[in-house]
Amino acid sequence: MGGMLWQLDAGAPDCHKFKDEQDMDTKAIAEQKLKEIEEIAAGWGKLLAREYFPGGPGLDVSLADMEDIVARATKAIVSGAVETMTADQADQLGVQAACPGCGRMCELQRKPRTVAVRGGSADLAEPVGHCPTCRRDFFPSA
Amino acid sequence: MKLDGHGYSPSILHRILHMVVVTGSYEDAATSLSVSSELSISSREVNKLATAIGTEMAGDRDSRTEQYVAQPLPRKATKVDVCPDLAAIFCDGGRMRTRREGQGTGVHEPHWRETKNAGFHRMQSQSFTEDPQPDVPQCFRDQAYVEKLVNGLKSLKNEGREEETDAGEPSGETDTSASTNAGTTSAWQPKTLFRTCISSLADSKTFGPMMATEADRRGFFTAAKQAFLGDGLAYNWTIQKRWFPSFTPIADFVHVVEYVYTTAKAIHPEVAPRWQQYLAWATACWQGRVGDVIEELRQWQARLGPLVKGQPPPDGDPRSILQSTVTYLTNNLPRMDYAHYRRNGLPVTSSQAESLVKQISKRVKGTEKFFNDGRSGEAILQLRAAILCDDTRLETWIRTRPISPFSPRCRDPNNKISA
Repeated sequence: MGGMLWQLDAGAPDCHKFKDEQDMDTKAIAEQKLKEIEEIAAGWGKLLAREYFPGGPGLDVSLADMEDIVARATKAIVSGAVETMTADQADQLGVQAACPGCGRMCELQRKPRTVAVRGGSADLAEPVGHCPTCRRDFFPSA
Repeated sequence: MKLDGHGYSPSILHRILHMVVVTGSYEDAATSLSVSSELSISSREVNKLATAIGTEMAGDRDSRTEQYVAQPLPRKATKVDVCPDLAAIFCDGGRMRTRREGQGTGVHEPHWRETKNAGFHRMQSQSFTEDPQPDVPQCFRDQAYVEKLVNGLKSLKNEGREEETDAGEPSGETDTSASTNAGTTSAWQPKTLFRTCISSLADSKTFGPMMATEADRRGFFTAAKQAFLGDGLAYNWTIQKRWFPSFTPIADFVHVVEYVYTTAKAIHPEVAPRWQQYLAWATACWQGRVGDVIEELRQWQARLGPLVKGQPPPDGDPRSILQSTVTYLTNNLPRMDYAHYRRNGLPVTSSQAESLVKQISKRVKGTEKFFNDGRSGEAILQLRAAILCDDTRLETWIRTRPISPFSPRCRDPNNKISA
């Protein structure tokens, strides 16, 4: 996860924990990529406007109405993007994972759950393992 | 992913907890979240989250404190990249109403508890060859201001905030704005560059090492100049001697003003001589001549006669007021060399502590506001103190806190805390 730019006391010992030169390079690349994404999303916004109001909004359409339309679309984008990213991340875990308690390899299943995220919510398919030795579930995504 | 069992992403969790401590109640927080973040959450859920995360933070603080205390002596001071010019610690107590834990809904066995609060200020400070302000600041020479200041402090005392025990129900709101504004304009005074703070229901014996841990984390033990400020309460100085022996102990000048003004008022019924007497004593104390004032007060004691043993004096008896002022000044004499402190660029009032207490109390103290005397009380203090820090420790904690991979995916809520 990016965005770990927490303000810390410049005098505190842990202030450079997250900020070495490598992080700065990575951050610069990420920033460039984010700018590209913003441009693409701005294009989607224009498409959305044309889709909803092919002839442009009438004079009776208020700014609040426009906001409502955009907010719905934004929530859908947030859901789609977060669900895809988390699913891709879950796929990287594979079909088995070691139990954090005893180390036994256990099969992973997917359990649906809804999580509130910034700008909306996302239905996640969370990987869950069950260790028969420890007789408890574990969640590799924790 | 740092996802626990609650169903909120870390950034949403941060918003919820931020709202918990900047609004007046859990209900207000839930309503504000619904409007500002379009997040549907009940006040009960908000309450549970606040208690859970606040308890985690208290547990983390306690384990860091244990580690600090367990270090072999002499402890190695944490070094920081930018060594503080002046490390100043301001310590003061507050009050909050609590109820007995585990009694179901409603308020059971309501009682007042003292909160311990400490502010850790990295400050910019100068040094002077001569006293940069030998005269008492204008605010302490303003009769209306001093009257308001003393009344504010007295209200706090009536509330029992500055007393160790008080079973009674205190009065309502108090005005300490005069105290928190005292002497904040002079150019010689050190300036705060960065502040963090801690707050707890723990007793002073437990709070001392918590303070030392926070101070060490900030590199305060390596600072060129170190100061510890508090009011005259004995436990402040016990903490200072035990955990901050290298820090210069400084008794708050505002409390000196309160004592000498009250005494002048008790022995001079007329306004003009009373004000002149107060000015003379306040100036002597400000200039570090506290011994002279004690001597003069003793002469007044001899003139008015002794208190009769076994006979409680009537309210406002000048002899008892004189006695308490003599005791206060005598006990704090080694911590009242104000001219010397000013030359070293050290603060002389604990207004920063008063201010911190007010900021903490804004959330935890109010009409019909009760927290459990235990987990929920300690938890709300952790959250409130965290957002009053200049760093982003609440957000940092939410994003980095350890989450158990087992179900339920959060820490044991019953983990041991100090309160």
